[in-house]
Order: sequence, then C-alpha cells, then structure tokens
Amino acid sequence: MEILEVKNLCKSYGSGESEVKALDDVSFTVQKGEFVAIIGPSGSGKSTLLHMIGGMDEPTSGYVYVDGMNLFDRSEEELAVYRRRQVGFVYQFFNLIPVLNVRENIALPILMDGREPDERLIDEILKNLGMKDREFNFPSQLSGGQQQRVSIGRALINSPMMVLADEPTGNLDSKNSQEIVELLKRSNKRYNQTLIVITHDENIALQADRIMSIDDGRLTSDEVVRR
Amino acid sequence: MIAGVILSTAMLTAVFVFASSLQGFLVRSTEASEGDWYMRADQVSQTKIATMEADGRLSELDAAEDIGYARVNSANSDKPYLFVTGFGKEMYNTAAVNIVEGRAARTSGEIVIPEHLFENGRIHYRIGQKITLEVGNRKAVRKYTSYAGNAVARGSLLGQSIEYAHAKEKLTGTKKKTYRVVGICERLSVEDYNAPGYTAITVPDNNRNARYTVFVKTYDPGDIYSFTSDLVPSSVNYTYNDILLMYLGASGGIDEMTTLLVAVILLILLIAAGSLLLLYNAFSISFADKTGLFGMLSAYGATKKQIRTCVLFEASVIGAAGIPPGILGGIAGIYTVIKIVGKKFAAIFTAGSNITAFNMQISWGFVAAGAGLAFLMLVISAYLPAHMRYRVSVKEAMRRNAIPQTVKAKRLKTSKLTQKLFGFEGVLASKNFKRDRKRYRAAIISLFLSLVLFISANGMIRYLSDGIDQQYGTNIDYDIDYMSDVTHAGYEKLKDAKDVTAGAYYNAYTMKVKKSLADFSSTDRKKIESSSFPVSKGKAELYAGLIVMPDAQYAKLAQKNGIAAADDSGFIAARKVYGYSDKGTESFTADISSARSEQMTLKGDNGRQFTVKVVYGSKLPMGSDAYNTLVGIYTSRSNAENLLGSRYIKNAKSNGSMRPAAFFRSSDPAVTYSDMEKICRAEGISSYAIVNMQGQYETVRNVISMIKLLSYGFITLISLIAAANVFSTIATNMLLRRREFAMLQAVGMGPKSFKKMINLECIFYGARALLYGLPVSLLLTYLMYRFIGGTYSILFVIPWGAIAISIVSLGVVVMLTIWYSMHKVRKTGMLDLLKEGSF
Repeated sequence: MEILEVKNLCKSYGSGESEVKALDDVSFTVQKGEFVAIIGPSGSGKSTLLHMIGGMDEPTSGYVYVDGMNLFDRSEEELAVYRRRQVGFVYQFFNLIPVLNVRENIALPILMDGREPDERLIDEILKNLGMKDREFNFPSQLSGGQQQRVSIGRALINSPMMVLADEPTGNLDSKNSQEIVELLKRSNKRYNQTLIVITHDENIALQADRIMSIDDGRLTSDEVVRR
Repeated sequence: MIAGVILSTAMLTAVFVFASSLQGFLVRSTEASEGDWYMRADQVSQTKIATMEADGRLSELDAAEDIGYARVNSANSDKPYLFVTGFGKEMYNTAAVNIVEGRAARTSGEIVIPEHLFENGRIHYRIGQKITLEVGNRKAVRKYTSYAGNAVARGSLLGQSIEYAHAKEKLTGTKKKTYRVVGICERLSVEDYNAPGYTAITVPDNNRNARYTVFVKTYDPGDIYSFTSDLVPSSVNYTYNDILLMYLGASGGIDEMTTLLVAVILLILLIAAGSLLLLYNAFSISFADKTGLFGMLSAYGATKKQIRTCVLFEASVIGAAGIPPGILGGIAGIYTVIKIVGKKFAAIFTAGSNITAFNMQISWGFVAAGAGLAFLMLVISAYLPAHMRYRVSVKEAMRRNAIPQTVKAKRLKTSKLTQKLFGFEGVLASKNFKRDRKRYRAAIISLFLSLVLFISANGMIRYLSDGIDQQYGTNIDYDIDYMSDVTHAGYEKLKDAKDVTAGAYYNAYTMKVKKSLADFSSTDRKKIESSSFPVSKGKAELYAGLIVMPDAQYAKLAQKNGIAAADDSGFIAARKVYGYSDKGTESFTADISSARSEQMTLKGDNGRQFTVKVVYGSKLPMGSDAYNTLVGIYTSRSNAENLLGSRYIKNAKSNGSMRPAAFFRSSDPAVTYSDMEKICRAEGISSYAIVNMQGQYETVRNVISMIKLLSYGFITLISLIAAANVFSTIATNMLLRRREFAMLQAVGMGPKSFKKMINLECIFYGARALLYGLPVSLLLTYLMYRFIGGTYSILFVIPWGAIAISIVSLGVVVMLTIWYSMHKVRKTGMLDLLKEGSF
C-alpha cells in the first residue's frame, strides 16, 4: 500500500542569477512499512526533502501526498496536528526540551495534543529504550546516546505511521549507532511503520529496504536492496 | 549592544554633568548671596594684613576699613549703633552688597544705609538726606565673656562679631561726621544676626591706624582652615563662609553637599547597575554565539589569558564606538534639560533679587569619570559571560552542545493548577520561566524599580500639588495682601503702587459666635460635630470676624448682593465656613444657615456681647478668602462704630483682637510688590508683612513643576534602562532557545500553542514584576501620603491612573519584545538549526 507520494517537488532559494535549487523535480513513492535510506553529499537537499515530507517546510512547486492527501493544502495548525500524530522526527542533535525530564520529553507530542499520556505505554517504551532507570533525569544529565534514545522514544510515542530521521547516528559512536538503528528497525517491523533515514553511514544504508541517492537536488538513483 | 553602551554612557555623563552644573550653580548663587570669600576676620591691623598677603596659600584678600560706631536711636535695644565701614569697589562684590535703591558711596561724605535700619531699628532715612553721626570705637569697660564664649579683656576694642554688651561697653573717641545718604542696600549677609551695629557703607578713610575687616580666599578652599589657624591671632574673631565652603566641598560633616553627593552616588549606582545588566545581556548573546569559537580556540591551545585579551579587545572596540556618542548625547541631553528648567530653578533657589543663572558647567574630570565608569561596566559585562563560557568544558564546547543547562528538578516543579489553568503550554512556559530565574531576576528588578519609582513619584507629585493648591487656594481673589498694622492712610499710598487694579482695606474684629446644630443640614452637622470646633449643649462655638470697611465700600457690597435698602440690616454674613476635622487632617466647608437672615449674638473681648441681625450674602468682597475660617460678617465703619462703641474699638486695637488688613489685585504682582517696597521705604511704612500671594503660589508651583520635570525625567531614564533590559533579556532568551522552538514545532506544536506558550511566559514575567512592584509602590505612596498629609489635609487616593499606565506600558514593552524576537527567530531559519544543532 502506497503511503507517501512525492511529485515534481521543487524548492529554490533566491532568484535569477543567484537562484539555488535545493530540490529539483523530485518524484517517488514509498510503501507502508518500507525502510528507506537517503544518501548523498552534504548540501544535496536531503534534509530539505525530509522537512517537506514532515510538513515543516513548503516547496516552491510540487506536491507531497500522505495517505492520498496533499500536505500543502493544510493550514499551519493542521500541519502541526499531522506532525504530532502521524510523524516522528529524529535528529542528529537530539533537540530535547531542557526543562522537561525524560518521561515528559517522551510524552511531549501527547501533551501537546492535550491528551493524558498513557503511563503504561511510556513505561514500555522506556523499557524498550533501556532508559527505565533514567526516567526522571533531565537532558543535561544524559549522554549523547541516551539523549538520542529519548528522542526516538518521543518520535515513537504516538505510534506514527512515518518516522523521519535526519542522520540519527551522526553524533554517536559505532556501538551506540548500531543500537539506535536496531531500535528504529524494531519499531519499523513491529508497527509496520514507514521509516525514512538520512545517513552518511553505509552500514546503516545497507540495512534499508531501499536506497535513494540525491545529488544537487536531483534524485540520481533509487534502488531496492531487498524485498 | 552599541546602543546599550551609548545609552548608559549618556546617562552616566548626564548625571555627572548635572551634578557639576548644580554644584557650580550653588557656588555661584552662594557667592552672590553670602559673598565671595572663605574666611572673614574682624579688627585686623594693617601689619597683620601685610603678613597675610605674603602667604603663598592666599589667593585674594579684601579689606573693609572699620570707620567706627555711631549711636542711633534704634528701636532694637540690642542693636543701638550704626556701624560705618569703608568699602573699596572690590568689596561690594566680595561682600555681595545688593543695592536696592540709589547707588554706592563714591566719596567719604556719602553713605549707603541698610534696609533693616528701618525695618528692624525703625529709623527712617531717605535718599538725599544729610545725617550727622558721632562716630567712635566700642570699648569694653570691664572684663567679661561674650555670647560666643570669647573672653573680652577690659579696654579692648569691640568689633561686629561681639554683641552689644550694654553697660559693659562704651563708645569712645567719637568724632562728628556728616554723610549724605546715596543708597539703600539689603542687609549685608556678612553682618551677623547678633551684630551690635547696622552696617552702613561709605568709602575707606585710609586711616593708618584703622582696623580692618578682612575677607580672605585661598587657592585651595580646603587650605583656609590651616591658613586661619596659622595667621589669625587667637584674639581676633573670625568666621568661615560655611555654606560656600560646603558647596565647594571643603567642609566636612553631614550637610547639603553630602546629601547631594549621596543622591548623585545613588543615581550613578542605579544607572551603573542598570547598564551592567543591559550590557551583560548583550554580551551573553554575543558569547553564546561564540561558545563554539572559544571551545575551538582553547582546543587549539589558546590560553585563558589570550581569550581574555580577545574579549577585552572586543569590549574596547565596542566602547570606542559607543562611548564618544554617549558622552555627546549625555551632554546634549543635560544641556536641553538645563535650558528648559534652568530659569525656574534659579528663580526658586536664589534668594533676593539677584538671580544667578543656572548654566551647564562641564567638568571634564567628571565626564572622564563617567566615561571610565561606562567602560568599566563594559569590561565587566564582557568578562563575566565570557568567563562563564570559558568554564564550559572544551569538549562540550567543541560538541557545540549549547549552553550547559544545569537544571534542578525541584525548582522546575509546576503546580497542577498551572496545568489546569493554562494547559500544557502554561506548564512549559512556567518551567522555562523558572529555569532562567537568575537571568530574569535582573530584568524583573529593573522593571520593579521603574514601576515603584513611577507610581510613587506620581503619588508624591499629586499629594504635593493637592496640598499646595489647598494651602494657597487656586482661586484666591487677590494677589497681594498686607495683614498687619497697616493704617488706612498707608493703604491709600500702597494702592498707588504700579499695576494695582483694585484694593480693599478692612479692620477685622475677632469674636465668637454660638450656632445651634439644628441650623445645619444633616451632612454639615456631622462635619461640624467631628470638627475642631467645640460643641456643647447642642451648640457649636465658631469664630466670627466682624470685618469693617469704609461706608461707600459697604454700600457697594450690599448692592452687589441685591439687598434692598429696606432689608439691609447693615451686616452681611458669609454663609460658608471653612473648618478642619478633629485631627486637623481633613478640611471641609459647611453652610452655617439656610435662612435668608437671622439674629446673631457675637461674643467679643471681656465677654461683651453684641446682637446683630445679619443678612446672608453670596457675593463677598475681595480678600474674604483670608477670613474663610471665620463666620465673616461684613459691615460699614459707621455701623461698626454704632455697634461697638469707641472704647471697645480703642481697646481692640491695642490688645490685637482687631487687625487691619489690605488686599490688592495687580496686573503684574511682582512689579507691584517691588514698587510697594519702594513706597514703604519712602513713606516709612514697614514692608515685611507685604505678601505676594500670587508670587508665592507661583514659586511653589514652580517648585512642583521642577520636581515633576526632574523626577519624570529621571523615571524616564530608569524606565528606558528597564525597558532595554527587559528587551535584551527576553530577546536573548528567545534567541538562545531558537532550536528548542524549532523542535517543538517539529514534534507538532502548532502556531497557536506556540504563541500561547510565549505569551504566557511573558505574562508570568510581567506578573512577577507587578507582584512585587505594586504592593511596594502602594506602600510608598501611602507613606508619602502620611508624610505630606501631615502638613496638608488631603485624602489618600490609590493612584489608579499611574498603575494603569505602568501595567499598560509594561505590557507594551513585553509585547514589542516578543514580537521583535519572534520575528528574529523566524528569520534565522529554524530548520537549519535543527539540523546543525548549534546556535
């Protein structure tokens, strides 16, 4: 089942001579439960693409259909709701909220939704992340790997249909990196979630179902690694 | 940041320049009133003068020749002499002689007479009059101790600083001298209050054996004390010009100069603290941006010292850009302020008719001090945040992992109530607010300060002007009064003074009258019952004034009130009486009757009773305001004579229960006033009781408007600093949290929630300032009320207007700041921040 369709997506900054094309006519589709790795050199437009899929940025032209609906027809408020219920973001820099503890950071999207968080669900996630003993710590009291686990917990709390990760291991050592990827993969399998990961790490890319390369804003290759 | 440096330098410079201008003004006005000398010594011989002149510390010496004392027929038994002194041209300046009429003496046959020879001594000389005096020396006939504690040896000559000793002294070696009066001067300020002679000025005789009164100035005012103890023999009486020395900062002890100094130091501290906070915030942003840079620098082996040098360099560059315009701005600002208020200020604070100009006076030393202080602030505020950044470990800085957020769980606890009231956004806002408590504290303190200053100054000004209005009455119907022993003939002469448009003359007899409480309306009855008027057996005892005017004047009054000849009983009464509450804290007016006319029994001196039929009138003659605390009964001279009888009148005149008074209206009260003084001098009428009510009222009004201007000016400055502080605190904080905001968006915080969170944060912030500021300002306002209310009867009012203004402007500042910083945050492209993870 097709969950995501990107169609003729363009994004450019500036105009005339100084025009820079961050994305240049990118089109592809992604199936539900697929694990896609996006690779490419720095500044090639990977992050821009990811932000568009997450409804964080608007294209100059083109469409992003999620579940058959165009993202950019929606209002800011609707996009915010989309982000907190259907998407989970993971960044290289974990971007935790410094005034909230581990539990609260994980529950953030639910809190933002004005709902009471399900404490059992949080406990389960904490267990899965191996962070149960750190649940009341603040981000500043955690190591990089631990912070990244919390940010994954935050991305997964709402069981989103899509997890978008921008170099989730870029800031971690190889042991921590593999653990993080395992966490993401486990969730991808268990909940049949779509997982899109930007990475420079070949080891991680090779674990994906499909690898897309972007260069200079263009989709240069798109190959299925395994099915 | 440069704006911050300019602002604080400007303010510091302004305070310093204002202080030095004020000091200069005080020195000059004192020189004008007290004379331009530091020490004065009496009865100094010519040889002694020569030794003084040879001393290196001396910068100026002026000497007045003591020509001698002449006994005159003074009404003041302690001041029986005219003291004749010889002044050279210079001396007129040195002793601050103010000639009010005529000119200075040019020959030894001319003399200038002091005003108080008449006002105090009741001796009346006119200009042009020739006077013959027996001038000699005062000599002690036996040993005694003077009032000031000096031992007076038998046979010693006595000067102006030794009071009249009656039988213990006599006048010797008198010579007949004839002078022509050529001028009248104000009482010399160098004449002590217990001086035995009225100082009259002629020219020096240059008598070789004469004694001199010496006026000395040293190069350094502080040297005058050692100069005096070294060179003035102990037998000689000397006086310091204390006020001048005080303003020059040469005398110790707690005095006005110290007060001025303390005020200036407080102001400077306040401004310095404010600008320190402001600059600190500015540098915080700048260095937060450079956290990585410092980490990098130290990773590559830069020593602490090198980084410090780098910071200082940055501070110096900013200082070089900001301090000079700041100095210029400060000077320009103070120049404008002085231009605007200088005249009023000078008029208020200079006594007498010679007004000293209040000019800007720049002491470059002070300006340098201001600039130096500003630079010091700059360095401190650059160094502190840089130091804190440096303490961030190299590793952390290299990882560019933001500022260390040392977060304490306990401190971040938010109540369930916050959650209920404001939702999750409120919780986040409150946590954020609590996290940065320290940072916010500075801004809250400055907000708190300007809030408190504004509200309480507002209260003070209001109470002062209310009080003044009450005391002087905004609508008294005369400009000048003379409520003392003025005769009708004197009144007629004064009425001819320049610019007088109307005049009235009364003889007012003070009596008592009992009024039944039943006569008052119920509200007025309550006022009377709780007033300072004694009440017994259902009757209140009030004071009554039988105010007597010429017959023609009375006839006009009756006509004005529309009283027909048939109804006219010859006595017109004022219906309203002005009273004070028990404690004297509140005043009121009450109607004493609602009847058209009634019988009244007045109790006069020695229990004499007079029964009169009064007709109530609403239109009262000029000057009635002066009698508004009495039940005013207006009548004609013939009616009064019939009622009282000549014996009663004669008695009342001598025992003071009758007081004459004159009231004048004028198109230019100041001109009229000085012309009346002149008439008094010419006619031998005492002028001390002439009061320029209008002028006084204006002076007081001027004082208030000065206070207003200065305090609002100062409050504006403080508020400016506070606003800048709030601005930079919030803006810094928002910018430092850009990435956090981006993340909140990424996890699905909508624009509405986001706005709600930021707004709540700012509301918490403003609420905190109000929470502390409002009670304190109300307390201060109340204290002000107690303080001022003790003198005037005014009501305590909560300054709602000022409170509203401060809340609104607080809101505006906070909102503008948010708007600005959100604009900035948006512009920086938050998405990139998310990815980069740096600030």
